[in-house]
Amino acid sequence: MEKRRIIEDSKVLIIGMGGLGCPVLQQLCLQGVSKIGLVDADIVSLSNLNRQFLYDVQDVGFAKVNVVKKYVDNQFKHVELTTYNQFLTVDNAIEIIEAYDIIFDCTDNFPSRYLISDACVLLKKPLFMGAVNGLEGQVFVFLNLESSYYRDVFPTPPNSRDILTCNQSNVPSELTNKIGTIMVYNYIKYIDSMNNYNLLINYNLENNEFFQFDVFLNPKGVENMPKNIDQFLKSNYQIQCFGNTAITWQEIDLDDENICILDVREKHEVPDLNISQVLRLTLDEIQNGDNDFLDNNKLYVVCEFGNRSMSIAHYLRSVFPNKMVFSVLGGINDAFSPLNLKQNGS
Amino acid sequence: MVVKILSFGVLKGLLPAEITIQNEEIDLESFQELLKENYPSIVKHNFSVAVNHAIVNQNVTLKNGDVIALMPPFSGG
Repeated sequence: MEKRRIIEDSKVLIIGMGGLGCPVLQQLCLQGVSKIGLVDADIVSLSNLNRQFLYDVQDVGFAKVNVVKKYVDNQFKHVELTTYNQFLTVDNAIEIIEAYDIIFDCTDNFPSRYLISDACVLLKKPLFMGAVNGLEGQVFVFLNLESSYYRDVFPTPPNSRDILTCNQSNVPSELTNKIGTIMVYNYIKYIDSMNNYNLLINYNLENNEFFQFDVFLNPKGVENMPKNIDQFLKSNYQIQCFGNTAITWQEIDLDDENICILDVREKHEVPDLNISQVLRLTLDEIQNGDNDFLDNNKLYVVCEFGNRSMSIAHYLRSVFPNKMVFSVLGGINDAFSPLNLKQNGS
Repeated sequence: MVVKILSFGVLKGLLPAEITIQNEEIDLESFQELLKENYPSIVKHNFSVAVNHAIVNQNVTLKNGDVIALMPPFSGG
């Protein structure tokens, strides 16, 4: 009875309302959790519908948290749902996370994972984290506060420009639902036992294999994380994970079809870049919702000299935290140097 | 000695399930060097290592029958 009361009274925060957020929310509601917070600024898109079962085709274009609120209000009268229609950043993370007892990380990118893990360590909040890749999933249970959580396993963010950000529409709902359910089940188990341990569970849908690993304090992880809230507020998780924003023309792999070179110059500016992956959109057009570039994981923003593109790249990184966005040094002006860019047919 | 290998994510398929080493014993760091020499395609990947189902963050001595797991981080959600 006492344990039931703890589950019902705990304030639980879910960050990310995608493939993992949907089953986690549903399972928590079914378990009787009555105070839930949701953080996500994403809107429902058509490519979500194959696995994010809380959304319907008529929800496309609407804020996920608002769609979910209607569903929960109808379906689970006992749940008091608070929605945050914003992405978690260093500026809002502390205030939001502090108000909850238990945190579920259901995000889809490394900057958010490190940010949430660090914030939860600093605020001493138990964290349940889920992650998927192809037909495999990882669940992290972080209950022992004497640790650096995610950094105990991966002390350094994958600081590489070649991180494989998987095309998530390939991840089947059978996997995300299973991983979400395992996350919630481990929360219930924790309430039952109140044991403090950290572990990693790996599940493979293809061959139904489960592996469980104990996680211990990693001094390197502790060393790499911010020591206090002040340091946390000054951290830049995008740069830690994706590297600096600036990139040179030589570093861009123009043979890669999954890149987008976003030319943000005004329409009257010449010359055109004669490369197949170029898309011309001004900042106004982007802010008005023209985001045809979102199918690509790597975005290279160019302008005439590389100044405007730098601020737009920073803006895009904040709005689309799971995209690798760079600003091309020297801009168009440098593109025509014979050393830098081989123009088609020249 | 023989050690078993569990590889996950992008590492799956790059490594065999089992490796036989001539030495009687080997430490984890040398073992990882050996893996990288023989399977250079794993070098570019970031991964964490577990020995007998516990993530390790220091050098340990491996013995016959140990299970080594190599796990890359997953980002999707």
